[in-house]
Order: sequence, then structure tokens, then C-alpha cells
Amino acid sequence: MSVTTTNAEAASAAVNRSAGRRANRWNRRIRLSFLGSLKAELLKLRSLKSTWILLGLAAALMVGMAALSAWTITFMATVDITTGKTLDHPKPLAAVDLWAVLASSGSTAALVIGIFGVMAITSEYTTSAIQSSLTANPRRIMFYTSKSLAVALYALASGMVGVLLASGVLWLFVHGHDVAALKGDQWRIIPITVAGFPLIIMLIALLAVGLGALTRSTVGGVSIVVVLLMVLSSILAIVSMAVSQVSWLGTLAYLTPDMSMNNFLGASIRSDAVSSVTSQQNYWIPEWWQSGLILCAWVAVAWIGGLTVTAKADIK
Amino acid sequence: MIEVEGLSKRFKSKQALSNVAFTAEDGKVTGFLGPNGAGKSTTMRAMLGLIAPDDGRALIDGTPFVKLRAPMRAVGAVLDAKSAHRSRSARDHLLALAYTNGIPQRRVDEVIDMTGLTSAARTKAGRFSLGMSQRLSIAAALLGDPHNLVLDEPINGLDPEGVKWVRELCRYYAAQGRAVLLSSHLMSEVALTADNLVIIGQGRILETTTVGKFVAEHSTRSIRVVTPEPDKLHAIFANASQVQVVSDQRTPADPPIGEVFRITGADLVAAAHVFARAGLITYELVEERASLEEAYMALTHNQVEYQAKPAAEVTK
Repeated sequence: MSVTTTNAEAASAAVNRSAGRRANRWNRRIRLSFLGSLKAELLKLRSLKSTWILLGLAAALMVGMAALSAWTITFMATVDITTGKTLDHPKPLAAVDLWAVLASSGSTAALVIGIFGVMAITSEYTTSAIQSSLTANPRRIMFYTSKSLAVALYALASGMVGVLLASGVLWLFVHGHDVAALKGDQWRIIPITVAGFPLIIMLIALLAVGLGALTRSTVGGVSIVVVLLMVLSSILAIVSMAVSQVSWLGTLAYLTPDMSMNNFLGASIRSDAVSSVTSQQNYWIPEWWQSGLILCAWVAVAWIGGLTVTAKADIK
Repeated sequence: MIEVEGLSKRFKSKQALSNVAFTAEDGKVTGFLGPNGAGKSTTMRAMLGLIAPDDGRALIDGTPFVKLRAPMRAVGAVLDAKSAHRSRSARDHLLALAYTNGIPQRRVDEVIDMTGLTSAARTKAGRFSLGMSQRLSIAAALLGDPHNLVLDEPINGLDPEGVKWVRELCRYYAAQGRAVLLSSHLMSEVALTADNLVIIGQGRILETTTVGKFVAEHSTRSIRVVTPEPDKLHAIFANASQVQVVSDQRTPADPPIGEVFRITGADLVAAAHVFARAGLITYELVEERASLEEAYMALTHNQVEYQAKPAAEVTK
């Protein structure tokens, strides 16, 4: 029996040898790997025009919002609010206000990043590319993880570029004004803005990837992103303001992804430059770090939900 | 070698596959034949882990597809002509697939060359014609120089030259000792290319045979006669119980005069001699073989999922 097997093996080896030497050279190195899969996902995103349009738009929105707020702050510093007359000597600007401007410049961009995240995965389904993707890499968890990581890296880069450009624009506006230094625990807004801002953009992208994988439809995924990042918190906040008996809905509003994002980036520091309803309310409002954790929870639920669907779904 | 063992799958109200089992042997082209909606694509998708079967399994060279170390080395699959993102260039699409399995860039250019896509390599896949998309799908399947080819209706949309090329490709791969599984709803196509036949209808395997056997069993001979003397013809075979003489419909190829008959169970040479001796006038005397297509239609007639009404009834 073993002799036959050996003979058969020898025969098949001979066939393989004749199958083409050149092919055999790289045959042995061919294997599915996470790094290869990640490289493929990075290329997939890089090779689409929509990636550059959405990421560019996101960065442009960050810069635009920062410019608008910076202009408002510097303009307000030059006028007397009570009389409306231009002051001879502009009032000094508070550093904390400037940082707060920078930190809040990303909330509109987050929506664009959300659309980018959804489309990164739903375009696989809408174009049937998922078939070739999953026949090349049938390990679906690896496929989903590497795609998520690729999207996260692009979003992180976009956030970093955005915050860098936004601070440059801010500096241009503030240049020449007196700036009052940060006081007490206000210093924490620096790391929260510099590191937290790109990280938040990345988390929003991952949330969107999860929602895209859950719905497997661009329209469905984008709709949920819009509801979670824009509609939900507004509705809850308006209802809680309108109906005083159910003001605890205001707390619920703070549990939504976009309020979590804004509250985290606001670092629980009061700043006149960024509108805030925080302190006057009689309901519980999470601290900045609690909001960060709440956002992480949203991301985890959506992403793991997306993972489950991706791992199980039949591709017809 | 591809072994399919007792695959069953139910989609909501429809039993798509019932205990489907067959083997696509090494060194052979196996034709997978069935009408639209018979379960060919579902079987192929289940083989490649795109659809999770309710029961049964498929093994690629002894291993389930999703557990292979290098899936693209083991199986090259064409499941759909359109399997690339519309906005991605053909080359980037292939490169991304190659990256996942660690296939060198050189091979990407090789398959582009082999499939005649060189001039369109930088064109976006969405601008490809059906034939070009089919070539791109085939290029993707060949990337890993696979040991098994799974081709779902690969000639759809191809021009005659492309069809011939796919046939030669299948024969070439089989000649190298690899397994080729080729699905089609056209018997004529499969008969030209395949060695073995697997016929499926409404999710069940109807017959597993070889092309040679199928031809021998199903292509019955008959003699077509057009004569102005039908009574004389009937009289000639009145005593030959094994011979059947039946009226047949006139075709445009038949002479416009005389009556048309089909005679089964008689030898052409013997019949010609008898007719000469009896002085039967014939306007046409020709031997016919029932086509494979007819035999296949007879076999699958009751299994057709989407049956059209006869043209005459439609135009009423």
C-alpha cells in the first residue's frame, strides 16, 4: 500500500515538475496572509477616486470649519459686544477657546468619514466584487479585519492631515493677537485634540464599516450613519427641551455617537467659543472620558455586528 | 480534484440543492449541465464557501476551500462576468487579488497578457463590455496558476474567438492533470469540451455520466423520407414490427411536395435497397441523428424552473 502511495506521489511530483519551472519558483511562496490581505485592501481603497474625494472633502471640511470659527473668534475680540464698535486694542484671545475650535472642527467631517467607511464595504456587495474578494480570501474574519484596518488607517491619516491643516489655518488667523495661556486642568485639551481628534475620526470610520457590513447596502448604511451622527441626538435634545418632565432624554442625547464625539473632544472644559448647553441642565451629563468610552461601545457593537454578518452571510 | 458530498441548501421557500454529490476528477473536464435556476451556481458557490450549505460538504484536493493555505493556488473561479469594482482599473483589481495570496506582480502582467487585456489594463472595469469583463474574471481565476478551475458559464458574452480560447484553455488545463469544472446550460457547448457530464435539474443530480456514454445512449438514428406515395411506404414496412413509420413536420429544408415521414429502427442501406426494388418514388432520403440537445431537453424537461410558453401561444 505504502509503495503504491510513494509511486503515485513520485508520479504526481514528476507531473508537477513538468508543469513549468517558472511557475514553480513562486508557487511555494504563495499563501494567504493577513499582511497580504491588508496590502490588498489598502490598494483597493487607494485605487478608487471616491476615496480621495471623500477623504479630501473631510480634511477640507475640518479646515473650513476651523477657519470659520477662528474668524468669528478673532472678529469678536476686536469689537465691543455691548456697543458694537471696533476696539482700539483687541481683547486677548483665550488659548482654551482656540483649542476648542480646533477640536470641534471635525464634527461635520465625521459624517463624510462615515460615508467613506460605509462605502468601503458596501461597494464590495453592490459591485459583486465580494465574490472575487472572498474566493481569493475565504477567511472572512481576516477579510473583514484587514478591510477595517485599511479603512481605519486612511481615516486616521485624514484626521491627522485635517487637524494639522486646521491648526495651520488657526495660527494664520490668531497670528498677531494676544493669547491668554491655558489654566489649571485645561491643559488636557491639547492631547485630546492632537491625538484624540484623529482617533475619533478613525473610530467613526470603524463604526461606519460595521454599519455597512450589517446592512450590506450603501443606502441603508449611509442612512443609519446620518441618523446616528446627526438626527438622533437633535431629536432627543429638542424633545427634552420641549417637554420638561422628560428632561432625562437630554442624558440620552449625550449617549448618541455624535454627542459622545463632541463631548469627548470638548474635554469637559467650558469655552465660550463653542456653544454648549452643558452646565445649566438638571440631568446627568457624562464626563469627556465617559463619552469617549460610550463612543467606543457604539463602535464595538456596530463593528462586531458587522463581523458576525460578514462571517455568516451567503453570497448569492 | 473537487469532491462534492451530499450538498443541500434551502433558501427561504425554495429547496435550492438536494443531496448534490459528484466528483470533478483530475485530468478531466467535467461539464456541469442544467437549465437556468437548476442549482449550478449555488453548488459552485457552496464549493467555494460563498454559501454555507445546510448539509454536506465540498473538498478541494481533500480540503474544504475555506481551510486552504493558498486558495488561489488551489482553485481559480469564474462565478460571474462582472466581479470587479466598476471604478477600479483591471490591473488594480487583479493586483489586489494577487496581494492577498502573495502572488508576484509579474504574474498579474502575465495573465493580463494571456487574456488579451493588455491594452485595457488601465481601463476601469465598469467600462468593459460583457466579453471583456468575462476575460477579466478569467484572468483573475488564472492568477494563482490553480490546480482546479471552476468556471460558471464562462463563455457568456464572449465572441467566437473567445469561446474557442476558453475551450482550448479547459482542454489545456485538463491535459496538465488538473480538474476543470465547467457549467453551462448548453449541451452543445459542453459536448465539445467536456469528458464527464453531471446533469442537474431543480437542485438534484439527474445523471452522472461521460460525454461518450451520453452520446451513445441518447443519439438515436432515424431516416427521413419525403414521398408522394405514403401508402406504398406503409406497405413496405407493414410486416417489419421493429420498424416505426411516423409522419413528421415539414421543415424549410424539405422539398415542398410529397409527404414527410420519419422511420426509426431501419438501416439506411437496407431501406434504400427495398425502396428501389419496390419502385418507391422518394424526393428525399436522408439519415438523421437526434441531437444531444434534444436528449438533454428530454431529460431536463420536467425540471425546468422557468418555462416559457410556445412562441405560437405568446403571439396569439
